[in-house]
Amino acid sequence: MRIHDEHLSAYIDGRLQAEEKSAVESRLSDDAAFAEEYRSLLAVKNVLHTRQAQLRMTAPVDARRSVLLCLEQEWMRTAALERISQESHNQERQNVTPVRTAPQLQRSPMLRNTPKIISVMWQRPYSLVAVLAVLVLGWVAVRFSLQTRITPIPVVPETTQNSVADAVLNDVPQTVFVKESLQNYRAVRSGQITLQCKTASFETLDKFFHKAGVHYNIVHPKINAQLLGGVVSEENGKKSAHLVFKHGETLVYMWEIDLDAKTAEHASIRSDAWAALRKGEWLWDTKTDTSTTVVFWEDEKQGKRTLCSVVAALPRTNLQPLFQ
Amino acid sequence: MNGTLEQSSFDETLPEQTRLNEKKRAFEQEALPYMDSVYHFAYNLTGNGEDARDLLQETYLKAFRFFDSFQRGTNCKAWLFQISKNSFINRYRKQSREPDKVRYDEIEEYYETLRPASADANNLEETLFNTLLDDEVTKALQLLPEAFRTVLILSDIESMTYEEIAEILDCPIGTVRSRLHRARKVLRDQLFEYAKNRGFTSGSPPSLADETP
Repeated sequence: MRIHDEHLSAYIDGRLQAEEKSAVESRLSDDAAFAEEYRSLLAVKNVLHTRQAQLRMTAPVDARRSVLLCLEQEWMRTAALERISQESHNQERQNVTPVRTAPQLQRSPMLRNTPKIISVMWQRPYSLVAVLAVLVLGWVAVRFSLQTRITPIPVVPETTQNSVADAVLNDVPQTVFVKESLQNYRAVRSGQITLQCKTASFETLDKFFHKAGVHYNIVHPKINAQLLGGVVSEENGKKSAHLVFKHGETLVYMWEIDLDAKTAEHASIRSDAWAALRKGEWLWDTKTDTSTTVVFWEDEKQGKRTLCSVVAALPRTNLQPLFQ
Repeated sequence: MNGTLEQSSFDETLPEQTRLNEKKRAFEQEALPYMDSVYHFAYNLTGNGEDARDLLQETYLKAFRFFDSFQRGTNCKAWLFQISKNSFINRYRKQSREPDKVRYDEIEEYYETLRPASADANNLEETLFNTLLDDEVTKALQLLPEAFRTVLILSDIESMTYEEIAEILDCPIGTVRSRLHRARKVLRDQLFEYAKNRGFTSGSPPSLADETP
């Protein structure tokens, strides 16, 4: 069997078959140069192996801290997503009308005495008035409890730049719309903002938005993600809609603004960006952090214009294909 | 709303939070201890500290997200290295180069000339190499072409098997074997060069007086 130098490294690593191993050992005992080659290669392995601790680079302290912080944020995001998902699931379960079988009604003592009760109420009108008053008050209470309270989404104050997400906030172009999109996204992700309407149905969500006072064109993005629900915010008297989706483990946040009633603060975008939006272009922002992407575009339907932004902890290459 | 529904929804919430806490704990125990190794590997791939930091963070983020797919108790380090390598390829695909076979042959030939032609039964190499400073060994390692350096780090520093290395580098086991052999030869010759520069002549092990503190 022919033995090559390459067999030596494999022999050192214990990777030879029995026959090869035997052949190598035989040559080692006969060939001095071959034996020296073996010793020198073994010496290389030993010097690396015995000094592995010293040779291995240690991660710098700031790199470690950055990783741990990033993981903590990811854990919080996952926990918030699970919570939203669970609440949405529970909400839908509670809304399910139980199937009823045709009951075998038995006349209860109350029902048996119905004629007597009616005759008593007829005879005593004030009791009838009291019953009617209770019914009216009850209707009013139910009516007001259904009306969703609108709370503004708080703007999360910027913290010190100690995370990748913070780096993005400080490095994107100074457009308020993009910055606030990111801030809102972080608020939803961390659980600071919870859904006011939890549903997987756009129809239900539209009804909620309409009832909450959002009267502009709500965009239903063609996105490969599960709708979780929505929130309505109010600022300077203007209401805007926020939608939350889930794609696998990733939360996808969307914000929609009525451009026909825009406020200067929200839609402060560079003029060249506006020109691109008018043409129907989608603008992507992944300036310094490729793991979080912001994309925004203008949607027009029946003459009504809506500015939309979507934020997700995905690189553009993963987010873009979600849109169909 | 009946009592049974409320109770079941309460029961369903608790296990989810417990599962997440358990996942976090398991990840901290299994994956975090390898951060230095992963950083070292990332530095080796990228060639600079800045990119190595980014790659380290990206690796751990992906590892956490996909931790459910990792089989507990198996080689977590190899799994992390594989994520790191794949992230590196995706991110720096345009910059990555395939090793040039002709160039490696030239490198091997050059370093072969540095090595003293002697057959010494006293294990001169081991003695000489043990006298080298850690910095010199590190520097010799850094001077190797990336393909050689990577396979040596994975095998002789991180103690990975040929199979694990083949999976991480996405190449056949035969390639791992031949690349490792060539890498050891080149490093050996480079280490001889350092030993020679320190004044050690071939055939004579250094005396104690030659040792620098």
